[in-house]
Amino acid sequence: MVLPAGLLSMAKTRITNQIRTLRFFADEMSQAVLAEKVCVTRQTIMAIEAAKYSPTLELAFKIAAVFGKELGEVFTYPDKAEK
Amino acid sequence: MPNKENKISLSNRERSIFGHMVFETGITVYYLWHAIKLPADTLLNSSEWVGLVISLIPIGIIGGIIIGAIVMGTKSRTTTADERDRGIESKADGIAYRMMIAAIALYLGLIGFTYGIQPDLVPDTFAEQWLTFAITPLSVLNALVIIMFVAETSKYISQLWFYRRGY
Repeated sequence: MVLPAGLLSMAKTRITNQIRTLRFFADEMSQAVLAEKVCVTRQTIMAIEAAKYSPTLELAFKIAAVFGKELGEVFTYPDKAEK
Repeated sequence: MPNKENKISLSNRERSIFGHMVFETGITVYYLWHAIKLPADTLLNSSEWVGLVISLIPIGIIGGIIIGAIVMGTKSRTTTADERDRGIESKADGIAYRMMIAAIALYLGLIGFTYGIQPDLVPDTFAEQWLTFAITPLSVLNALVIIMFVAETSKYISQLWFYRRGY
């Protein structure tokens, strides 16, 4: 049986993030280490990075705090002009 | 170059869900396989039915241990559910409840339809057989077991689906 293309893919959330870049500059921190620091699973970090899951505000703040950044530097939401 | 970290593998939670699904399917099939062989008018306090239920206990314990060992392997580390896990479970619960309500409505609807709402539309032979089967205590219980099984399975499949999809 062939599944239709995109059946398992999910529309990305409109919230974009710089987690991958920040991890790279944070001594190439792994997803597992970041996940441990913010008390979630690695799969959750993976889903956030791929913009498939929007974290709660609390988790977003925790992630930003790990990199010592402001929330807006890690997560961005396009304004109306960029729609 | 492919990113090693983004390689999709079955997480512990997915393996656990899959294991639960296999386990519950096994137990339900075992129960129904034997329960359906019992006469439709078997009472729920009869020795046959009570014996069947008691036989499920050791089978459940042993089966649970075996499947748990196979699914989790030697790395039996348990991680607490995070916000995404809880969100996925909540969505899957919603689907399971809808499935359960639909199945109960279908079952009650079939009984009601056959009993008197539109009896002319139902062939007499079918109505007799269906009502004889459908309204005995054992049959109602079996129907509830099947309905609960359908609801639980739809929950597990939904969870696996959401995990594969991301959320």
